[in-house]
Amino acid sequence: MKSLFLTALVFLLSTFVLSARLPHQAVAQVQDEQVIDLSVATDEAEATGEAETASPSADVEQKIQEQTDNDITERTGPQRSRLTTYLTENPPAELSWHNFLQHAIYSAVTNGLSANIVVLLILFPVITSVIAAFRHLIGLRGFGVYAPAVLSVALASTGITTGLIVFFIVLMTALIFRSLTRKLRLQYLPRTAMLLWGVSLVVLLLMIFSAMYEMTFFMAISIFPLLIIMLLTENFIETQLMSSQSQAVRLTIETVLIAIVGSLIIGSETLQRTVILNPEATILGVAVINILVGKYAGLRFLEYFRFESILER
Amino acid sequence: MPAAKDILGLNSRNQLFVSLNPASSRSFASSKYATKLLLDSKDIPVAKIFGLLATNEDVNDFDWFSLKNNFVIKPTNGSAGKGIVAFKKQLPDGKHWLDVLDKTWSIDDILFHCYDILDGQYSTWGAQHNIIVEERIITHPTIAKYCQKGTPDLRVIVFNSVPVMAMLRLPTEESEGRANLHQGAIGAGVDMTTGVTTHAITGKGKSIQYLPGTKKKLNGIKIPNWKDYLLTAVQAAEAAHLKFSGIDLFISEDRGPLVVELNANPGLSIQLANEAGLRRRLERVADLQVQNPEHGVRIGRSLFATIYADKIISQEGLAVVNPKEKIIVYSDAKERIEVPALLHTGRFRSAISYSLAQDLGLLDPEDLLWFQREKREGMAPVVETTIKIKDRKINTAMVVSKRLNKTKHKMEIGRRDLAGFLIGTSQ
Repeated sequence: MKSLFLTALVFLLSTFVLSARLPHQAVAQVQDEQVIDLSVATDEAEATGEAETASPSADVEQKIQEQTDNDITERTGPQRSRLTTYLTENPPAELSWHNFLQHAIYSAVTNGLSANIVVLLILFPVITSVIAAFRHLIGLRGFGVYAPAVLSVALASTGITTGLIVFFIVLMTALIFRSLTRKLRLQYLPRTAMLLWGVSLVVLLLMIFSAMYEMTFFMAISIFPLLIIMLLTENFIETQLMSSQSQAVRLTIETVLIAIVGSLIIGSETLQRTVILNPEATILGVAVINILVGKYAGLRFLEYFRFESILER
Repeated sequence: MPAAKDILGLNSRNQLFVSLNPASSRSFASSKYATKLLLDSKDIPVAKIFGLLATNEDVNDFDWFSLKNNFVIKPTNGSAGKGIVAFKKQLPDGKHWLDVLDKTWSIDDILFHCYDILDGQYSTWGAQHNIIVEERIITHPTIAKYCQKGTPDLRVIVFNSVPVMAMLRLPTEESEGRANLHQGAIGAGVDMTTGVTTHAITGKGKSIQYLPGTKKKLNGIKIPNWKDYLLTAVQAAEAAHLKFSGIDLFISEDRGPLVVELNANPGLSIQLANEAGLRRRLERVADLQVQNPEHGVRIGRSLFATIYADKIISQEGLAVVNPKEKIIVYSDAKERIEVPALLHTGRFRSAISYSLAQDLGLLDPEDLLWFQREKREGMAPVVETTIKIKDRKINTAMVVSKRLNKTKHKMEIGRRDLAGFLIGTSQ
């Protein structure tokens, strides 16, 4: 109980110190950015043009904008126009049995549907198949299918390094808060709420801190990848409870490894372009791969090492 | 050394074998208490349960004074042996008990300990904290000396009512008294024919020769009354309708095998401890028609013998035998009969002539193990046979061949039973 109060106190104090040191201009800038971000939805060229003015805050703004532009999970920005342009430059051939979906996508995108969403929806099952293959062919388990899949998308959005740093910080916070809240002997849900309370506070601190030092790669993180990363800690803690610390660490590392591969797949522009021009083949191919992987009854790659001592050479 | 296709991996275990278990029996395997009730109702030996206590009232109402000796109080969902107290006996005053660490407990001490368990003091997970009061198992002294802490047990993999592989699991300091390999216990592979340990591994799968910190060898440990353990394992699997399972048995001093737990997803490290592939063994018994548990045990014991060639050679040296040798064969009534035999390395499994097998009384329907294809004869029965070559007694399975009725030699001994022999013409 005492330690919890202490943590809360430390937190309050540090916010106080931080807010005192934070220049008002920067605070205003954060608000500005929010407004601009929304206005970008209508015209992105204007925003980048304006950002070229030399004030330091405009510089920050520009960097954030650049990062958002490269984020495939954003519905707006040049990334969108890149894919859309690519699609319009490669119109589908005459309607036939093998390109009906491509036609549908083409007309939907010309009518204003985000090409990014289309690509993500086609790539997401690809990611989940890759995760399934990782488990059944290689032997990396991770926390099921869902956690690595959404983490892939989150990492694709934040950038791998940034995402991993945030993940690590969040995980450490969750571990510390778990041992703190354990002493309170709370029921399960209030205890989890308490944990997320702590994690949210630390992330908030981190954001404020990064704004202070103009660490734009943190400032550009949007809320959903952040939430996904925070929720993953629950998986970790549950495993730690049910089996063991080493098992939890192992599964977390596996999850992160798989998610990195997943985010590389989502982020690959070549792949994005390939699937948007060949949606039928991708979707069918993924289904076939799933069935093949699901029927595979041989040894997994890592099992060859596990049973190395008894395998005949 | 098994090939990759002979080894059971997670994919093949889950897809090809676990899936054969009916859903109803999988639920049995997940609840220790339900397992005990089921097995008890079928007269399969289990550790006796004196009580299952869920509330403080249950604890107060329980007749503690009736517990005279050897009982254990444990939380249902504890781990690492937390909260478990084992008692040796009640003191003569009838109001105090002595635990295994020679500490004296009053009735109040016991009640308080139980309240603590119900409060979740010793549980690492779950919200429902119950107490089991059960019989304290005293491990058979031949096994107990390999274990300072916790209770060792025997894991038997049963498939299609045939015991196919077994492992003795010894808890260690590292595993904190638990018998699970992944928590650090030692696993020793057991020869299916004799019940003697062959090779041991640590929880991490590394080979190990001696019990850590001692000079006690981990191979050569003989499990007493081996057949009873296999039989109980098969009976337990049949009672729960588990087609593929891992049965855990305590090795008790006075009552022999006691079923602890049934696993519908047994672990795969048992293969490392036995240096053998489980998938091949499972496939070999998959199609056999097993009439009853005894039949299943006989099949398992004769099919999955470990070949001791190296051991025999190092202990006794190579014995030179003639290609045509008179050997001793034992009848069903254990009489010794000398017959001319051909030591024939061209065949794998030994064969015995139909008429000789009949004379020896080996052809009773209950002695029949299975049928297998014999060259030029079609399907031939396989029976359990005991022979003696040069003072070495070999218990094996032989094909019953009608072709050998006409030849001079009445038996052909195959490679499988010739380990440790040198065949030559000069003596």
